[in-house]
Amino acid sequence: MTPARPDDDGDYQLGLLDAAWEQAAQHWRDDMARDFERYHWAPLRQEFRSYLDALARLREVLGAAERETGF
Amino acid sequence: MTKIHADVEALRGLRETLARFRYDQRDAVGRGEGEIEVARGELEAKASSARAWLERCRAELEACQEASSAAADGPASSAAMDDCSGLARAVAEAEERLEHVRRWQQRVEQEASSFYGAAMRFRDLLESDLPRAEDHLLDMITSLEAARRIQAAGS
Repeated sequence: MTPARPDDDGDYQLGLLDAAWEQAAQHWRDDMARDFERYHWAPLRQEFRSYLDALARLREVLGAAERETGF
Repeated sequence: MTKIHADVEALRGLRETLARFRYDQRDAVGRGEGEIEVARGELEAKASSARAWLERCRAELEACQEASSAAADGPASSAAMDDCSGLARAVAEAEERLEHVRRWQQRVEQEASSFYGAAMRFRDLLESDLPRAEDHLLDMITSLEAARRIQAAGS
């Protein structure tokens, strides 16, 4: 299977993660769940979002560099 | 033992999603870095080409100016002067082109640096934090299944 490109379908990937967490959170409501969300879930989501944003900006600049220097 | 209020199937689903996500993303992080390397190579090739053209324009301008100086001792040639001004414009244009490529090289390096920071944090998370989260879920799943077995045996 070809690994998904996070820049191409990052929001889709994020949606899968959110759906899995929401499904689990419906049946998991204790202190461990809150700790898991705080120490594992939130950092994962935040770093993935930051990575996707950085990758999008990078690809925008690389594309512009190619276009603008295409003499 | 801490009581876990959770559904084992829901936790298993979450753990599988995290494992699949980690597997799918681990190679993807390296691809952004690969795109930077390709762009660097292409820009360096363009800079090299622009430098070569600039050197050629400068050499032709120098030769033209020398010829004009020599001609100035004899009858004045306005045609020769016109040729030199055209070459001077070509030199200025070549300098601008090279500077343009250099500015884009700097812009790419700035963005690459920003990207590397985000990619490094995400890679660290994929390689260390995420496996720990999966292990944590597995421990909980194992505990829940053990509790279920005890309940089933007692009923």
